[in-house]
Amino acid sequence: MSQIKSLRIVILIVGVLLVLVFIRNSDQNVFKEKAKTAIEAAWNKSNLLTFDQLKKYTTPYLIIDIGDGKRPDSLLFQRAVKITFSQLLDKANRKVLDEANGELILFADDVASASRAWVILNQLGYKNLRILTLRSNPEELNYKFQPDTTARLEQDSL
Amino acid sequence: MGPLSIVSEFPEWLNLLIAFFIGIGFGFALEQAGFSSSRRLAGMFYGYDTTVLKVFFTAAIVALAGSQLLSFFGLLNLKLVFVNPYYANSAILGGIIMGAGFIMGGYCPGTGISAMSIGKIDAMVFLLGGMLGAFLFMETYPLIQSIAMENYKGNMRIDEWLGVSPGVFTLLLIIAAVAMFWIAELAEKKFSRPDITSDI
Amino acid sequence: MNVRIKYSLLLLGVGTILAFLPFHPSDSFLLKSDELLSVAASGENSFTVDQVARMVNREDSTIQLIDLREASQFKECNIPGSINIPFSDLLNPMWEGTFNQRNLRKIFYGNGDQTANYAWAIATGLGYKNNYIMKGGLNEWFKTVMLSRFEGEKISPAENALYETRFNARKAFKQINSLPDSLKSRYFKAKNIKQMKLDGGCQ
Repeated sequence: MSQIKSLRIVILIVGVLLVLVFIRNSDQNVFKEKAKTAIEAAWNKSNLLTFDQLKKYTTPYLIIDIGDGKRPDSLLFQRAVKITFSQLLDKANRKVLDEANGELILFADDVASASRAWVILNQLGYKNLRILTLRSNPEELNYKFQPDTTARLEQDSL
Repeated sequence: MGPLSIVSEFPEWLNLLIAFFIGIGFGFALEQAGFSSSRRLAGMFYGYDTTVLKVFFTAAIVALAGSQLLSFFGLLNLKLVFVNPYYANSAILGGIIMGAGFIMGGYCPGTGISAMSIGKIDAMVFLLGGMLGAFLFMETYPLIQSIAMENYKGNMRIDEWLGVSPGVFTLLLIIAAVAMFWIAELAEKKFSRPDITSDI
Repeated sequence: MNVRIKYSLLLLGVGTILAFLPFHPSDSFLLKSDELLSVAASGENSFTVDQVARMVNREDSTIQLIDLREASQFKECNIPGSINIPFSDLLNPMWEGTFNQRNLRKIFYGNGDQTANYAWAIATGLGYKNNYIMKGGLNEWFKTVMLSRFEGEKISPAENALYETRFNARKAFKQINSLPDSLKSRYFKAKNIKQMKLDGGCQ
């Protein structure tokens, strides 16, 4: 007992630290996933979904339409909720995301919002998260560069 | 004065000023701990005084644990910490030469300057020798460059090499340190030299 | 109780907490999620290909074009002045020297828009400042800068300037990418070494 009494200060410091760690960990605003997971998932394109694949879906899913409000309310999809990109993490919207049943499928008119939203949600720890795309490989180069063998740097710079 | 991210917004002169005061504090602490006596460092080698081990290892693990906690609470950006690139050959060869110099001289560069500032003549000679060594190193560098640059391992970190999280590595190091302190205390009893230690 | 034992126990306690920390911030994003979202939604972080073409012509030193494609694609063709940081290699500490320059505007591009936006969000989330994307990527570059021709009867001064910019950028692009392979790889290697982190710190 006397030993514990003399260790009071040690126990106090460790206890306070533990409480602080728990508080920090319960902050929903802090990113906790490793950045590497986003790169890996994006690199092997397992996060992309085409319309054809979606048509064949039998498992439950929820489409998150990150529209800018110009399009009439989700004409395209039946199982969709509309969330403006800048309000993606509002309390009500996070509740929708948290309570969604099955896969979350992001859709936006511009690739930028969808990709950025995907990175943010992926790093917040949302699993089963995909982006709906029109093409199976949006990162394909549609043009072929033809080297101009007559072009010479030296001649021009002289 | 990184890696405190708030501090990195400071202007250059303020950074240098902070460094100046930290330097004074460091020198003062070294002097107060008796590190300005060459017998203290030599004692580490002979086993009669292991203060050096205890002080520097404690400093290392406190800094390690502290920086990890600060980073966890978002107060410190550990990505800004410079990781020294690891040249295996230079590290081993340089370590041996430097270690031999420490035992023979009884100082490390920091304690040497601290001792010089209170007027110890042996420390002045030690620092002169250090500067001469640095001069010789630079002059002969082209000859030894190929040896020094061999076995380059990049910006290596032990926790990554072991494949454990930084926190687990910190715990392992703390356990190792506490064990070492315990052994060091035993050694101090075994090799005690009251005739020397009472002086320091 | 001996004070040394107290310190040892304290350190062991803190070490145990560290070993069981639920996440390690140095592997994760530095920004909070709402901060990242508000920057991402602000929409002020992209350049059009014409803006990029103008900067390329000026050899603007306040920008760094970053090509996120694989090395083989990069070697085939890339925008003059860009360096190759393959997306899969984005977290390599080797690139810290490029990313960590506050005043350098980093402009990401891939073939399309997707990879560039991923990279933008990751770099910004990790706390690096001044990140941009080139809208439309190389596909847009080819369409607008490389292949567009003026069609019409009368050209206005503004249009004239625009087409001159495109023409000059096109010329530079063709010249650099038409170099023989051996010269190209040597040139890119030298450029990449320049971008790597400088040695420094406490010795």
